[in-house]
Amino acid sequence: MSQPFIHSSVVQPDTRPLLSIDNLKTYFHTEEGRVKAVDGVTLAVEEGKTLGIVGESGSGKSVTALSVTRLIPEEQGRIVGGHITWRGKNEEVDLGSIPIEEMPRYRGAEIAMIFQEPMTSLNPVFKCGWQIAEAITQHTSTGWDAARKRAIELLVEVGIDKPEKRMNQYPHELSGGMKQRVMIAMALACDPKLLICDEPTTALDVTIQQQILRLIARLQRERNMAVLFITHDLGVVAEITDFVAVMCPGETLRMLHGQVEGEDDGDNFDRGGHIVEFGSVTDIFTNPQHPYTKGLIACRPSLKTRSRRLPTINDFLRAESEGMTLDPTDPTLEIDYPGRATVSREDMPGFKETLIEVKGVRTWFPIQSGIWQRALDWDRAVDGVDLTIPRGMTIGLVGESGCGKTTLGRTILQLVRPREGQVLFEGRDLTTLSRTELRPLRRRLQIIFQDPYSSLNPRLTIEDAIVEPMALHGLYGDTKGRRERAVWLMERVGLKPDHLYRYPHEFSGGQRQRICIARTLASEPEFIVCDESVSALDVSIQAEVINLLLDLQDEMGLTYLFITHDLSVVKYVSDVVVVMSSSRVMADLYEGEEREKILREARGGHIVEMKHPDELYRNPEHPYTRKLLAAIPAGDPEQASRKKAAEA
Amino acid sequence: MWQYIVRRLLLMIPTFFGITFVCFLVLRMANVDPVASQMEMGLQGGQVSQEAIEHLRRIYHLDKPWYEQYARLVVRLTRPVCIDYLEEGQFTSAWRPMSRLACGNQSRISLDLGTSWRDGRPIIEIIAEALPITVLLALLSLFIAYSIAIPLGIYSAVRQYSVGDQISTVVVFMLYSLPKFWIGTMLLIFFAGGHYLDWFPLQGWHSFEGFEEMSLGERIGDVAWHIVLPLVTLSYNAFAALSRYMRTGMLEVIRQDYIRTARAKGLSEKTVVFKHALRNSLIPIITMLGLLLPFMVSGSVVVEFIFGIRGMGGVALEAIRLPDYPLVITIVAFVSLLTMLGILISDILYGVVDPRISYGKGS
Amino acid sequence: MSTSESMMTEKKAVAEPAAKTPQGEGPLAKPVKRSYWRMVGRQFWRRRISRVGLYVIALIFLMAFSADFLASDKPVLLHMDGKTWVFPNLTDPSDLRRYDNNTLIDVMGPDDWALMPLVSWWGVNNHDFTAILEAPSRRHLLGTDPSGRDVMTRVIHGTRVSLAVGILAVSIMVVVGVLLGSLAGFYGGKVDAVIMRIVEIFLCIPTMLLIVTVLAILAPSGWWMVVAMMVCIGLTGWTNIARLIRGEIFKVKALEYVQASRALGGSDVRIILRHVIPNSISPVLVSATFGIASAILLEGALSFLGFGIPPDMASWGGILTAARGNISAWWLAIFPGFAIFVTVTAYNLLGEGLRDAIDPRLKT
Repeated sequence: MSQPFIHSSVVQPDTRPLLSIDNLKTYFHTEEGRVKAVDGVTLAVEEGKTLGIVGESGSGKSVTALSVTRLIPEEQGRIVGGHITWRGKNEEVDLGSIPIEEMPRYRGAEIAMIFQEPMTSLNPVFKCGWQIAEAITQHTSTGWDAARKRAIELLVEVGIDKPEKRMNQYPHELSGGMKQRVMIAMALACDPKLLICDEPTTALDVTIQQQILRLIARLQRERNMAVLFITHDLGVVAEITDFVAVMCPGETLRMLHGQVEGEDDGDNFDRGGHIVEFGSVTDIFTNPQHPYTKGLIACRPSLKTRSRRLPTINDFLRAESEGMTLDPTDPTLEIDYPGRATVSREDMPGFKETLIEVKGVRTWFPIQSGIWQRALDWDRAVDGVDLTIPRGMTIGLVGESGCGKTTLGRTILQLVRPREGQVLFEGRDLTTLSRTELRPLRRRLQIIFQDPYSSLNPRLTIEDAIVEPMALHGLYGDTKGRRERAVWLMERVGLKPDHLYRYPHEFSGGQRQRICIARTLASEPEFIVCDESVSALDVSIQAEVINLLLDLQDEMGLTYLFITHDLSVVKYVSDVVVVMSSSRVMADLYEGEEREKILREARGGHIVEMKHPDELYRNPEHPYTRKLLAAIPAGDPEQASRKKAAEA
Repeated sequence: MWQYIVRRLLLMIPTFFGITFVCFLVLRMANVDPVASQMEMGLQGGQVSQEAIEHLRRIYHLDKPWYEQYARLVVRLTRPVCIDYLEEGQFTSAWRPMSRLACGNQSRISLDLGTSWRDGRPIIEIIAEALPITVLLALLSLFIAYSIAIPLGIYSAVRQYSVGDQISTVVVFMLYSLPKFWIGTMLLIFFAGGHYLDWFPLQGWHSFEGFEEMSLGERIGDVAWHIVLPLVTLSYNAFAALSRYMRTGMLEVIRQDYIRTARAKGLSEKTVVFKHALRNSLIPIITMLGLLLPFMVSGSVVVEFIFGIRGMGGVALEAIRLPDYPLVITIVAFVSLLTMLGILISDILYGVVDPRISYGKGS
Repeated sequence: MSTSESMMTEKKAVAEPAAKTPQGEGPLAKPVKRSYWRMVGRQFWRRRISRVGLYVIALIFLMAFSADFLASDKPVLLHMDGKTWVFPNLTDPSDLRRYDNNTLIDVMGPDDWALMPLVSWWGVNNHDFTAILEAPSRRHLLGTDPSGRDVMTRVIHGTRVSLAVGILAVSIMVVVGVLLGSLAGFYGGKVDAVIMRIVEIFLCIPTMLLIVTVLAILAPSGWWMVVAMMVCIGLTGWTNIARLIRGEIFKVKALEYVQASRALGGSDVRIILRHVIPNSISPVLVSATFGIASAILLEGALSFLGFGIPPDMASWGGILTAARGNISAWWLAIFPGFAIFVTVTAYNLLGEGLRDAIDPRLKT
């Protein structure tokens, strides 16, 4: 079994750490057999320090955190080995082996947790104030009135305005960011010595994410708490942590040993999630040792990335296993891979000619209310958008949730009809066409969705799914021709032809997204809306899919409208970046009178700024764009400290 | 909130017309001449001239086109009128507009639901006698069902896969499949009537003899003694459905993120279950109330038949046998409207217990 | 946004066996079919209770089909006076009409032979006037009713009515429910509003009373009564299925594969038939199975009240009715009631097994 890389700069502390996890093993038992979620994790959290655990889904990072507080339901998973030593209030205890009935003494009082989904993590039927006060009275002898007073103080501390009012509100009446603040206030209620944050910002928009990260950092400083921060996002890690542990399952490391999927192997790949590298945050980013860490750093598009294609973790592992030494921090790093496009989109006919023109489009949805359910108000999802999309180019559409970017994409495809405005496709106004008239055009205008789990019909084989668009539009002659095309498409997107006879549930998320791409390509489209198409994927898979999309664009001269909330990805893929926002989204970034002023304008989703990516990121003009760009998590600790210094 | 209620009340109007129309269709389908049936029942007796029959047909509006007949049915179901006490014990319905002034001391305002073909009694009187019995039975058995099902459901969910849970799951599953008319009959055979165990009375919902002379306490005791078996028969089905629902609901809630949060706060398992999980899993159970109402009404038909209770179901069955279709249809319509109201109330209740439901911005 | 990690491990666990199945070499190797229904079938078969349910139902069906061979007043095969009758129990030949099994035994000579019905020698309307309201005995295995008819025979033959009403009533429910429910779900808006009002009407009307009234008015005879009952139960009981499929369709409609088909220019009919219905139908299947159970219960109740199957036909509820008037005759209550209970339980077990097999986790 390979030992993790431990950087020499991690000095052994004189005192013993607050929490030390020693060779922890947590296994899950599913119908399909045993899953080794955490398999031999050893780490320590020191008092007043922040330790980040970073890894992709399935790496066991969350399970490690939940094991510490024993919050894994017993019927699902169990700690089968190792120790979790907690040195709390002058006592030393192994949390892994004490009876579960004793855990409430530690939870909340000494070790507090916040979770990923603020929407579902608060009990919907109790008022926020009550939920915080409950946490206080649970561990102290404070009376109810005193607890309420303390709860208001906590709300002030976590930066919630009008705390008295919020005390009496139910969770659903608060925004996502506010809910997460309430969660933090609840966690702080009994002055815990350790705060475990399990992906606390993943479900939040980037500007809110920045606020929450700053809040956690500030509270950590002020209270001298230890923080265990779980995330999949290296950018976030760079921003907030002192030490980093990188986790991944043994399965992922196959490529490192030059082995392909499916081949039989020894213990190495059988091992579940474990730590491959541990070090200070600077060490991890400037001098990563393990190839997996290097790949993880390299495959994430950062604002600095200059390469034409992204390195992927698997390519990285393969290259390293073949003896190459690569520098993951090199912004121009590219690794050649099979299937890379040999032609360029510039050579395609009609490159940069206008393909689609959007003129003054407004898409409003009625909000029905009152006794007669009349549309008394409108949800102005898209409120006056002009946009020109040239052939063969990628237009990146970026914005926070609620800015109308998805609706704009669907309006262009006429999946949603606009209230006013024109969508010109090769000079024809799509908004005036009937459904039947649109049908032949639909072949040329396509969409790839976000969720790979719901974008394939579970009852159809992959072949049925891919052949359907061809049959619908009468392409490739007969069944045989369509089949051959389906085989070709499968190979093109990097899957095996015999996968055609399988059903969607047999594939992983990344594979499904490839299948969706193949299905989209089946109708030979010219214009594709990629609606958050890579957002649900792990970074390494995300890089693979982005590369595939770029290759396909070069080979077929495709035009993309790339919709995403990820500011780094959009900068990397786009030729033009379009920032969308609405008054309601923007107002959240301001307080007091300025906020009221913006809200009064009440404009729905519209374009705030539109520029070449380099130009936009170097020189944002609109104040909202500036705020948005400033909120991007730093790619490395150096940049993070520079940013902090600049703000101070 | 009020907007929601008003909206729901307005939506009840088409439903009301739908219900009455279905009832009217059935009545038309019967195509029974009340004149003929009245004669059969010997109300008039002797030979009746053709003119007299025509006269009666006019009185019952059978000579009018179908839409007018339907309109009259609707009007009849909705219009309150005065019922005058003419002579002792005899009533006649008076087709007068509602007006307190028009009603003297000897009168009262009431819904005019027409009169029974059989004995000419106002239907509202018959319903007024039968309804309390059915409502009492339904409410009591719902109360019993809820008060056993909720604790059992919680127990089963918290101790999932334990021996107790497994036994209760099997028992509840069997109860679910047991026919009411079977259990009712078996209870009658084995616990009433004297052939096996003579613990409970055979028929009725109170003693026929001497009930008038009893004091209030004795009366309550007598009724309680009579309705034990009917209540058991009526409630076990609802109980089985509810406890299964409670168990799955509770299991569902326990998996939620906010339960994990509650545990992470350091709450004891007891508090987590009885404060955080219970409150949430009770919400769907409350909505079940609205859906159980029609279920209870159907059940009461069988139960009242078996135990010879003159509730709504018993009276309706009797009327069908006579046949007295206007009475039946009026009962069906009346019960439907009550059910409609019951469902509305449980919907509103849902909004009260679940803070997430705001019923529009109007409130 | 990325889902929580435990979800991911779960998904991974589901996807895992795919990687382990042997993979073909050629581009079009032998397909490894793993369709949704196969998976449901496997999940279903894995649980004992669902197998038990299925076996019991198969047994009940067998009983219904072979009722005349199990219980009849004529032999299955008869050789008498040099003549051989094949299946006189089915054909009821005129020259045997004056006999029943018991009298035949008396007139049969030494060379004659007969293959008697397996369980009971009494016919459905065979009155044994020597044994009126008799407790179970060797002569009448489950006793007799107040007019001297054999309870065993009537329980066996009653199976037919119950199964017929149950299955056909539910077929009507499914047709009406799926049709109206999918219209409401797919088109929404005004169509939905109208259909939901109709659903609400049927939800409010006490269906039991309505059916009793209609049956009393129509008063058809013989098998027409069975038909009338099926239609009545079917036409009043579709609301649950309609609401179910409407909800499912609302859910499926928002899914991205339906959106994708729409973006491809698929017609409404194509989208409904190919994408929406196949993905919303499985809960309907479960509900229909439970529906059969409740239709059988309802049939029993109607016959019990005396408005269902006419007395000259054998039905479980009909036998039970007699018990109410003769409360010392426990056998009149226990056996038919138990038959209903077993049938209903079997269907409920089947439904339960199906529901577990159609676990939403598998749908991803």
